[in-house]
Amino acid sequence: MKLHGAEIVDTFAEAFPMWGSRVVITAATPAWALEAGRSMTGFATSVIGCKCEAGIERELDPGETPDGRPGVSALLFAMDKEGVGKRLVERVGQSVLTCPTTACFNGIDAEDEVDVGGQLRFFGDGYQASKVLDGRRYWRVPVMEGEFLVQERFGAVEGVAGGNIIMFGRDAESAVRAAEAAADAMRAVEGVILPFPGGITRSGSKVGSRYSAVPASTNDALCPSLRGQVERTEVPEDVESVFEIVIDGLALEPVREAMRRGLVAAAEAGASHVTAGNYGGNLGPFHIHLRELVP
Amino acid sequence: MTLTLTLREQPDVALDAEALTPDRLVGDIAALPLWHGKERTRVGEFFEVAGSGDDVRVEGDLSRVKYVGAGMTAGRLTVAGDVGAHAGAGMRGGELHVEGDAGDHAGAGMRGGRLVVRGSAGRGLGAGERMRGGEIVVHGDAGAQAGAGLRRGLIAVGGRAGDAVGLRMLAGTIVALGGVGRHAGAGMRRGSIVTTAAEPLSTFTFSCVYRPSYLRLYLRRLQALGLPVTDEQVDGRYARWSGDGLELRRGEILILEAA
Repeated sequence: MKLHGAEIVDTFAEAFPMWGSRVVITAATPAWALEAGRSMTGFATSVIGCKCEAGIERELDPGETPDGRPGVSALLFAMDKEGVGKRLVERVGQSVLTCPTTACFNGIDAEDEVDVGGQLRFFGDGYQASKVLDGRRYWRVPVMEGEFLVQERFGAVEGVAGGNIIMFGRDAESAVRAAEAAADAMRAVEGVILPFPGGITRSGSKVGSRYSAVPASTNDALCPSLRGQVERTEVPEDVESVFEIVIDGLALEPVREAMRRGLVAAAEAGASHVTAGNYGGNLGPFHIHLRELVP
Repeated sequence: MTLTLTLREQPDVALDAEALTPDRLVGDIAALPLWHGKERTRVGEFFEVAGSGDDVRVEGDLSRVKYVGAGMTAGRLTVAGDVGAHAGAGMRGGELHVEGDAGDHAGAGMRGGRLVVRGSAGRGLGAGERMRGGEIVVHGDAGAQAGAGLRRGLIAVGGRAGDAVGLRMLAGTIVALGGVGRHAGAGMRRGSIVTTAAEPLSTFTFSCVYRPSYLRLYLRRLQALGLPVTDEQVDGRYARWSGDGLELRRGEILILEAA
């Protein structure tokens, strides 16, 4: 299958369920909101090494936030609901509570909820106070700057993680250019994040390794430098570099839509091939076939 | 569908009208009981009934009709004029709209729902029996002891609240955009009184001038509910006074600083 000169491999991305939450961070300026969002979603590229995956979904205008200030929305995913709660307490506590002028709100109404502000309030050492407005409880935690406001409970939903596309390039420059174009196109989709740096990873992994203590290791079948060394390679002869974009979303459809936009953008930007990663269908229940995404 | 009740004539003495809630106005509405002073009477004796449904409109001068909307749990009740004492007392849900003034003790002991008074309210707004939830929005002024004993919930006054607002309140939030009278927050343990002008008692201690984050949520909500909250009030700096020092000193009076 060809699209804008790129070969679209007839395969599928294999995604799996993860629990996710949306965090709305506001601040006195867009810059401080973004700073807090970046800090909160830092070191959250892969659940294997970081216990969660997180990223900034988009920037928010003052008219879109609960307190009428500029903000960002961020998504955080973990393997279960309890994990989402624990990671949110850690990350909101260390990265948002600490950041000048910020406040932090739940960004998704859901049947399932995790306690965040109700844990962070203890930083107030007894001087914290709560407010209930329109059925929602908020905690006011006194801090040296003034006061940190955080919502008590955050919604958690069963989302979809591990959506992905993999782009090949005939040289390193064209490969990264295609990946950048794909990531840019995907960011416009609401309800997804791309957890890796700049949305892109150069080090896609396979499950396990020859070392028992290492749960994931380099995807040797997709390493161009190992083409002459491994038993089975998936790298065509004219390909010099490969990048992957991983997509986590609050639901399946936004993940599919992000993959569709990324696939088209990568092809338009000069990728030689676009494929996707899977585990033979044995890992995740969500199979997103590339042929269904080609316009 | 709207159920309309029209008061035929002013009662000679106060009419106790606990039956006038959307929950109770079902079936043979004209036969529902009322108390006219010490006499038991019926809705049909005083009101003309037309239509049906849980959107109820009561027309006429109800300033001598007490307990309108008391204990209601759902639906919408509109009083097209003034209403007597204890309107919305003990409400648990739904919305009670008073297009004129409300008498004393409106919203006393509320548990939930919303009471909106387009005019002014008398003494003891939301006071007595410890209000534990819901929202009271008064567009005009409120009499003395608004929010006395408040335990939870929001009382917002677009104009001025009288003396002893938040007297012995335990928690909750009172907003008075037009200032408050003397002895605000006397004996308060927790909770917030937010206003544009006040003279705190000597048992309150000045803490600082700052922009409380939570206040933006409250004031923006009151804007949405139609109160004339200005951008200066939303974005403004507030002096925080902690008190009452005779109690826990966990309460606060926030007073808007002049721009």
